[in-house]
Amino acid sequence: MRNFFLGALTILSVLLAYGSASAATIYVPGPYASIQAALDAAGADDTVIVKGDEYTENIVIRKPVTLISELGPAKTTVKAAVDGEPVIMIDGAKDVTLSGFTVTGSLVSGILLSKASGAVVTNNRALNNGYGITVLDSNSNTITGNTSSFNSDYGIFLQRSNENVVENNTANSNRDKGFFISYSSRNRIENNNANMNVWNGITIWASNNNIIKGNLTLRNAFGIVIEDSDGNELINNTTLPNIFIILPIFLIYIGILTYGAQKLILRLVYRS
Amino acid sequence: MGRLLKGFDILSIFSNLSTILASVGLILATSSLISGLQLVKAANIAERKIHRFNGYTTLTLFLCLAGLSVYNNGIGLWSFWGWVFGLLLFTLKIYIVRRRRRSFKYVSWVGASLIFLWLFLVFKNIPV
Repeated sequence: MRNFFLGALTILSVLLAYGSASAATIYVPGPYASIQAALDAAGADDTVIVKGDEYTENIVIRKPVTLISELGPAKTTVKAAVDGEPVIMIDGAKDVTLSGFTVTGSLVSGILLSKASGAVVTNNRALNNGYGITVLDSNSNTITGNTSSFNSDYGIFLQRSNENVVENNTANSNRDKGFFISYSSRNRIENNNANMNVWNGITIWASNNNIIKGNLTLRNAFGIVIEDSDGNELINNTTLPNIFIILPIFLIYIGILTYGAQKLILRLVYRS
Repeated sequence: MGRLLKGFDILSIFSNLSTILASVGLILATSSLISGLQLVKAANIAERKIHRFNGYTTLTLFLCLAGLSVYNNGIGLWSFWGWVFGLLLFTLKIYIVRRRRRSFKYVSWVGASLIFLWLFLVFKNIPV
């Protein structure tokens, strides 16, 4: 009986030791000066926490790690060291979490997911890149709460990527499209904002069975465009391309009604 | 194709305070202009009350918007002179209506200028 308890205790200690070893937390700057060095040293399931600062790197993530910033995207910026590479690339990895960065200065893409799955990309800002956030040959990822604006091509771009969730993102003022879903199926595009993009707010191209729900597209050339695609569901999206014209007319009309109502009320008051 | 404008879709853009204030301002300025034009034709106590209520409410909204703008964005050279110009327009309108002298014949032009002022404020405060 005593041997049994000792054995159980040993197994429990080993499991606990393994557990703590498999989920280490590394701070940058700290033992490692660069984010990439910390990621190279990190094991699977480790967390790399980046302190608020401006970093000039091109980061490649090839293992299931969590990369987050301590102070959020307003105070943590990663600029591309080589502008012909993505600022942050998740390359063939599963279950990566990426959160809290401003990424800028890449002619390719701010954040690129290539052959990734199960990734969570949240609360990032991709500004002034070629593409903001690109999801390429990647399935079952979650892209949520990001801002992808002022990019020279698309804000958020899905190419040959299926069953992803793209929700609560903002893609404004991009010089081509806000969201471009190309050759991608069974994705959920929900509650996003795509405003003031030079071309379309949301484009679904050769993509089937996607759900496009609750999105707001204002002041784009076209709100939502679907071509060569089947079985896509459009639910409660708002598309107002001519808001500059519609809103003042609407308000002046309400103003005329208000005058009528005020006059009626005052007439009733003075009559009584 | 995306869903076209239907029903009250437009209400979804009223997502921040300055949009709401600017929109209410344009509504009341429109009502004020109509009542003002009626007053120029013939004096009427109801029209006068509508005009005065709407006029002073829009002035209050203008001051609130200016305060919000300074609080949120600080103050630059252009925005400072923009707010001063708007305030001068309101002051001129009140002065002309109160004094009722020769310049009174221009009062509807000043009223129309106030509509343009509110249109500009609405454009500036569309929430995207």
